[in-house]
Amino acid sequence: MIPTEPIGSVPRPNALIDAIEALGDGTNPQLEPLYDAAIEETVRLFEATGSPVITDGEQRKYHNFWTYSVEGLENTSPDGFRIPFAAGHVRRMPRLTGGPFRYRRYADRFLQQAQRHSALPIKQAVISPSALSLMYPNEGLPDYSREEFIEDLINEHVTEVRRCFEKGAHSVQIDFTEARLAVKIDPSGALLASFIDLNNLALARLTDAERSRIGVHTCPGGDRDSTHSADVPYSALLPALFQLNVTNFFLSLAGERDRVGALEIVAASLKPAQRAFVGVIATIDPRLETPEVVRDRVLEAARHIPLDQLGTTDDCGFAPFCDDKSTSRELAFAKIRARVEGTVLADAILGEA
Amino acid sequence: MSENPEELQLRTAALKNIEAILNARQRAERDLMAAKAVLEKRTEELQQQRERFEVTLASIGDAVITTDVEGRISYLNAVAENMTGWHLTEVQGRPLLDAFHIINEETRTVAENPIAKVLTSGEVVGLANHTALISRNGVEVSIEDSAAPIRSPQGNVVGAVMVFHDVSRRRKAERALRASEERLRAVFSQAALGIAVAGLDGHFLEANAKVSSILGYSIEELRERTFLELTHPDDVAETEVQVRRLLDGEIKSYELEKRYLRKDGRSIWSNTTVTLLRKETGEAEQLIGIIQDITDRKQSEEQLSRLAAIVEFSDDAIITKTLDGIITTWNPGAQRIFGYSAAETIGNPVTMLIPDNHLNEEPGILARLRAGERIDHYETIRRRKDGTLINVSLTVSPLKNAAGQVIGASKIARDITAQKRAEEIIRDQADVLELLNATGKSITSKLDLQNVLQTVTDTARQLSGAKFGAFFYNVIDEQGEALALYTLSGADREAFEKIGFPRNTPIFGPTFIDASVVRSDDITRDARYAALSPADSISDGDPMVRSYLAVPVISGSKAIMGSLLFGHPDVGVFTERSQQLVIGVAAQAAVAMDNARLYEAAQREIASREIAEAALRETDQRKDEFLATLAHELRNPLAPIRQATLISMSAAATDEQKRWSHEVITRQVRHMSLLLDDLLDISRITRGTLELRTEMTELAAVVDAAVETSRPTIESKHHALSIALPREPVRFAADPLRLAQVLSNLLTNAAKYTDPHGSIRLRATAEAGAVEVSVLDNGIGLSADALPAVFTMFSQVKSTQDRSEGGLGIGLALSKGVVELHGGTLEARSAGPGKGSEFIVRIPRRVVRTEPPASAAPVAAEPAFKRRVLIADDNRDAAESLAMLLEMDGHSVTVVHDGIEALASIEASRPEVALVDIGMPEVDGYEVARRVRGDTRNQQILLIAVTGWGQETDKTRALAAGFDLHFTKPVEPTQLIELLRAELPSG
Repeated sequence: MIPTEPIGSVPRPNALIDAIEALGDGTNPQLEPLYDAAIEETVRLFEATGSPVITDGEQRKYHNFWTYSVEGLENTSPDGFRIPFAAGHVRRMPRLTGGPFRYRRYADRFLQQAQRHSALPIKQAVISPSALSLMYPNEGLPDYSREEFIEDLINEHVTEVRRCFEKGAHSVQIDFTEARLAVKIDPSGALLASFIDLNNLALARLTDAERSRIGVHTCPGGDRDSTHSADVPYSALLPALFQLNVTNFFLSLAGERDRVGALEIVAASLKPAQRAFVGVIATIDPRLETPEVVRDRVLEAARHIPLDQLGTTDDCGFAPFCDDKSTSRELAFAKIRARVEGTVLADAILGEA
Repeated sequence: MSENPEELQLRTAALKNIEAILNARQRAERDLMAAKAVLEKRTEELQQQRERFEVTLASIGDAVITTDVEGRISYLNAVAENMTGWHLTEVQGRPLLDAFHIINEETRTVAENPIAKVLTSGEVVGLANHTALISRNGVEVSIEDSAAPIRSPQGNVVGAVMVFHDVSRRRKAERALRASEERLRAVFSQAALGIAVAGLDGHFLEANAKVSSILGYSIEELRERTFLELTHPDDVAETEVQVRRLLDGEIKSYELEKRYLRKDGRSIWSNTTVTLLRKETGEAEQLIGIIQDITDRKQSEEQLSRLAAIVEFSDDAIITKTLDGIITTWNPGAQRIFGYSAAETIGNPVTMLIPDNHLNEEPGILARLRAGERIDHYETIRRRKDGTLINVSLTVSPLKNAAGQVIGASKIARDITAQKRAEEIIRDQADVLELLNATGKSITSKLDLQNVLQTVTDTARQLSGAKFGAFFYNVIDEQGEALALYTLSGADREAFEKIGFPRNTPIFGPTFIDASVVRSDDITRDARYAALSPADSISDGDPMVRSYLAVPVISGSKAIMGSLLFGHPDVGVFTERSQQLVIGVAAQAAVAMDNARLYEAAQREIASREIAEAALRETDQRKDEFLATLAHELRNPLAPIRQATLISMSAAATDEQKRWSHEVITRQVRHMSLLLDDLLDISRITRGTLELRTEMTELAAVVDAAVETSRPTIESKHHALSIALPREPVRFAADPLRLAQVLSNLLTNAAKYTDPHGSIRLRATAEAGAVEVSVLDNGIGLSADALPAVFTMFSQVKSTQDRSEGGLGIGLALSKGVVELHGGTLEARSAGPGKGSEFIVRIPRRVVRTEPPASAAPVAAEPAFKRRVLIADDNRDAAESLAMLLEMDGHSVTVVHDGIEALASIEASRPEVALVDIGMPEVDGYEVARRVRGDTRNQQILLIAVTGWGQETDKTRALAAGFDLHFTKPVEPTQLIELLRAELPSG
């Protein structure tokens, strides 16, 4: 059976988005009932898609997949680096203003809330250390060296991953969308190699068993049906990416212009113990894929990747940022269902073959 | 390179992190190197430990094999190499089972891999029992040991170690011991003797199957019992003594022949040997008993003892002899039968007992014995010591030795002389019985008494061998007189009369008097006969009777029916046997005579019944004919009535014709009334309900009334009637009306059955005791056989069929009934057909005290009173016609047709007289009367019941209901008219 897993985020209900906007703060306690209702409904709808592994839809990740763990830290300021998207909008990171660096919240709290509503395996996505490393200011901090920061960052990441496993996460996915961005801003590859070094330092502190249940997701950055690095070719990214000391790789592919080229690079780079979950749903494409389309994408991938190293996924989360209304919840779940059903169709064909 | 400033800034910041990340990485690498050095040191230490460990393992006596977590061999010590036949270098890294083949010694199947079990369970496991290792070269070694997991410092199972050693020698010793135990156990459980172990308290601890079989209890049941509980009560005391001696150390064991009680209650004999087991300390521990069931032996002994007693006390001679015929044993029975003592016979040939003419039997007997054959009930003759011959029945059986060879014979000889004699007697008696049976059949098959008697006499004479015989028997004739008759056999009556058999002599009488048998061998010398007078002597001169036998014949009711007498001129002819034969014949004769008499009685009864049935048939036939006549007689008047009615209703009829018509109707109605009266009277006589109204009656008045009634018939045939009465008035008690009816009947009959212009004479006489009236005619007369039937009911029809003069033929029967009610008789006489008849009435004279009859009130020609009359009758014709008659007599009449209307009319008009029918719908006459009388205003009404029911009981019931008078239908109109004309009695 070809495994299939989501990336993580699903658009929040409009009522929740509007309420967050109205209050101007996604951590306001008044939002709790809305968060609870959104998570319960998301889990129920996720179960209805037939997906064997689900997520909480990242309904509580505020303000987004990148900054949720540091949102509201007192030793930060909102004027961090800007990340420009192809659609023209910019997302801005918080800036660390002093040490020591600690997460304000770990993702296992989201996991626990989702577990109350489902017995299905639940996957938890966490942000990579390399993404958060960009919080440290360019000019440095007087009493908190960059080395100290890196050490704290690695410790916090490892803590978060372990907490998720301890709470019963089926798997943990490290969101590493900045990988492609790193190539974009540093085509020399030095930045990407540094990011991979940093992440491997953190992964080295985990056991083999833990690492066997960890995956890395990378994509060109999907936000409001736009990306930040889709123009970066996979050839510049993937060979280095597979140096990460993890087992599973969740790769956007459906929305790639040259899927076959990408698949060939994946096939060439994939190590024996690794598995590539290829994106078969273009999350930023407003068109709903049919199961047959999905099936064909899987069959296409299977022509390049050994079946026992192949899995399917969505290209990206459907709403990495909490205020993203570009995709409806209905469409997102319909696409997830198409992924599940298409994968089953392909599996039936490949099983017979 | 992008020119986007945001990206540039981002890249700058990111690249600044690289150095820090590299530093972190270098630190990590340093830490790794340090850790690796530590690891190498630890590895070296471990290697040293391992070597020490291996040296240790190599030097210990046990074989050791270790494996990794996959179960692949990592180490074998020298012992293991030696036992498996594999060197470590050959099997390192290979699965355990490549070098370690183990099997189950008993099942010979591959045993479970202990290492696999340890690795799976993580637990220490011992090798299974009976495990054997098959070495590389096929040598099988019994092994024993265990396997355990090897764990990492973190507690994870990383391999397993197995330690084992050769236990072949021990296993062999164990097997030998076990085999020995099993043999002992087999001996114990399958021993032919019962073996049981009991505690010192006597409870069975163990017992083999034989004990269970002997005592009938399962092993489990035995464990709940003590051997004393199962010991026969009579043997408990001895057993206790022996056990006590055993426990006290007096004896080491004891042996007893004792009895046990089985579970099924049976008692069995045993030979029980008990030994005391002691512990090493000398302390008594258990009792071991060996029990042998000797019940059969005991029984055999008893049986032998009994057999010996049987032989000793047997009435039969029990002898054994060799196959050469030499006597070897001789019992007292033999001595009794043959007269020889044992000393005289043992050692001598058996032929000493055999008469010469039977000597040839012995070789045949011996030959059959040698062949193993048994001779049963061989009847022959043997000779006693005193030379007398005796009948014996021999049963000779071959005697065999233990090998089954015939070595001699056992002979049982029974003296059957007496039996033979008895059989002869029985045979003789059977012959007699058969003869008697045949005789009986012959006699009893006859139903004619005379025939029976002759057959009996003849048969008995033949059976007795008499010269002649006679059967004297008693009969009761039709007049009830007893007669003595006899039949003869062997002599004619004349000759027999000469012999003379006087019944009342001492020699002849007893058979008739007390039913005893008399038998005399020579009657001329018999004292009883000698006492007889010459006149009673049987014969003079040469006596015809010397042997004499007399046997009574006695019926089932013990009455002496007669006697059989037999004589013979020779002396001593009649024996006990012939006497028994004659007694038997006499018994058969009694039955046959009874049967013959019963048959005759039955025949008479049948004849009598046939006569009665014929009479009944005749009566029945006469009744049928009477009914036909009755119908005819009742129909006869209807024609003239109908015709007269038509004439009177005819407008053309003259007054004379109408008057004539009325006379015809009146006459015919009266005729029918008379017929019906006769019928009712005869019915009452038959049922005994005719009541006489007896009063002092003047004979002349009765005769006048009778003559008056019959005069029309007499005159119509122009007969001359003469009457002769006593001069003095004759008064006597009688019902004058009924008596007049009788005489009128006789006179009318005389007129009817006498040709015209005949003569009829009535003559009456009176004596002190009776009044007699005779009616004599010179008419057709009666035959003698018709005379008895003339008074029988319906007799007229048949006897006068040719000249019927009307009437129902019941007149004479009715007259006879009436006369007999008076206590008198009516007799018919006739000299024969055509010679006239005479009927004579006799009435006994009795006197009753009566008041002189009140003179009847003169009936006025005209009614003195005009009455208001109510007639209530549901018969409309009857009611209307009666009303018409009363109205013609001047009364005022109201007619209603049921009880309700009657009551309403009485309430409305209060009539003086109410004529009320009894049988009306809705409310009957009785109820009407009761309601009318229930009203005090109605007490003056004269209530008259008018009904077809004329019995006294009917009248009584009507009066009880409130009626004043009771008239029986049809009401004579003149009677009613006279009543209404007179002054009414008070209601």
